[in-house]
Amino acid sequence: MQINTSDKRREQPSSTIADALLGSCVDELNIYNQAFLELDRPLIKTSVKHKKTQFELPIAFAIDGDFSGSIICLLDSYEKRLTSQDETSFRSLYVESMNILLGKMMTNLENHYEITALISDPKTPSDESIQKSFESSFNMESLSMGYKLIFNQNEFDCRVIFNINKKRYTEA
Amino acid sequence: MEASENNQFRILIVDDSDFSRSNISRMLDNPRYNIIGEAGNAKEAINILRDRKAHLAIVDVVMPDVSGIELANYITDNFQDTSIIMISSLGQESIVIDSISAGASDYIQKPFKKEELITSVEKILATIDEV
Repeated sequence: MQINTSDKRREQPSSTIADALLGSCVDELNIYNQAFLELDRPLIKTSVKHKKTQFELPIAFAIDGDFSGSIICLLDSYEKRLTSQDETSFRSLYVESMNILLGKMMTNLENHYEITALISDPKTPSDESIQKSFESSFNMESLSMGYKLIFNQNEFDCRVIFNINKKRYTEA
Repeated sequence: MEASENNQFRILIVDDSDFSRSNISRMLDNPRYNIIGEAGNAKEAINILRDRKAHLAIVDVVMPDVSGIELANYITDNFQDTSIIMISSLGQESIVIDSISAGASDYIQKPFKKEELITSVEKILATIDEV
């Protein structure tokens, strides 16, 4: 299976987890010809995180391995219209799309940078736990990127936020 | 276990994603295959296998509570006639090795094409055909 990373990224040094994650990003992904993911905003370090809106659908994954932390995905459904049949299956498609995207990134991390990390099964976090993870912490580093999930002629903006435990990976 | 009287192969799909299960089921929509059940976790999978024998279980690696690799170990120990294909969004070498060590005959990384899945399934079912 071909992994879609640009050569430019692969040439970058992976001195930190952030660099390695950036180099492991996937530009686009075909989700079984039923949806497409397109990189919209590249991965950057972030200190300010916008509060989750009521229209954003949250999914969270835990990361563990050579570094630890969490990943929160927020898909913006504001003013999107789906048929009731689509709505039933859309959430499951969204969760699996994020699972596939992040699984590919973790695979690229190991293949290109020899950094091993696994993601957990997806969980639905509470608004409170999301807000808590957004608050600045001395031990955590935050990275954010954006994807567009294209499904049935609709484009959904999706924020993907990595909260990485700094202490753990500097020791690794 | 030989193919059933009507020459259908009995397949169980185990994945915590509804989308993934129905997608695999659609890919295997063929008179040659009989999807005997879809399970969202290991416990459901074991209950189905106790009730209905399967030639093949297609098992997701990352699932809540009991992982796909633990389930594969259990199937290998307790349902020797059931072959296993592991599937996952993760493609790290260590997971592939763990899956094969747990008794899986093949490992496919998501997202996969229908042809890729069918090739893997047929390769395994060919060994049953020969029984």
